[in-house]
Amino acid sequence: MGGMVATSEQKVGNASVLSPTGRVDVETTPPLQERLLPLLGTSGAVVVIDFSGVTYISSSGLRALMLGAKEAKAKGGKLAVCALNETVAEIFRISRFNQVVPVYPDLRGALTALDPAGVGV
Amino acid sequence: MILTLASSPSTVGQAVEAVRRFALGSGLDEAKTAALGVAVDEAVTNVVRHAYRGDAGRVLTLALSVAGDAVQVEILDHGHPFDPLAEVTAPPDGGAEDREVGGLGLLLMRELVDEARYIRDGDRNKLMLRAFVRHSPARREPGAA
Repeated sequence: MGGMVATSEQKVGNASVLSPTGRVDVETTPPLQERLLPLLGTSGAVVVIDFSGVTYISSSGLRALMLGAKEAKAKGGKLAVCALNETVAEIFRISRFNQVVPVYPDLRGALTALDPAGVGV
Repeated sequence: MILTLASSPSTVGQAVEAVRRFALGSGLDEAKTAALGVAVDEAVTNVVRHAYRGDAGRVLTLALSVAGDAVQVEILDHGHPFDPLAEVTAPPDGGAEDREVGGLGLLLMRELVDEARYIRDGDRNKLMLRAFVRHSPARREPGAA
């Protein structure tokens, strides 16, 4: 099916980086959420979602991010997003989601802030 | 252009793609097209969930047109009366610990287009979303009185 989001995952230092591509909508959010929440289930986990390949996020995707942010809070971990395109940034602004998860301009900025040792800072 | 879709979550992507092709072909720029796509995503999801209450055996219709300098998407369904614009609430402030999960879809739908209108037309819900091709309606031309 064309709607599936392909999400790659890599480890950079102590951080897990998830990089979904395409739409993050009602159809494609469940598989993304199934990868995100277990990563944050470990105490003190650091997760960055790289949005550079994401065309848009709907409210379903925002709900998954909210659950992730709650899980990170509960387990003493960190969740951040980076590289939002114009549309995704507008959606974050309208929904005031930059109060829910920290937003960074690019992956390096996010990793430097969340896991400085991992990127050699 | 008229599209008839089944009232299932899996048709949301199909609706968005069709709107996207039509809007780009009608001269709407990439950013406004993407925003209109999200608004349509939320509107169709809303019909599936609320007007049809999850019944996947129903159909909804999308009518795509150019009205003046706007790309217009009308979404019609025969479900329970439901005015999505009346349900829009302001986004809550605060971090994850202070917020409920959900409640953002209709806010995004209204805020991502230049105009949104709802009417109950006989036994149909009719929602009209518009995105202006050249400028936002509130903006004045330079030098205008």
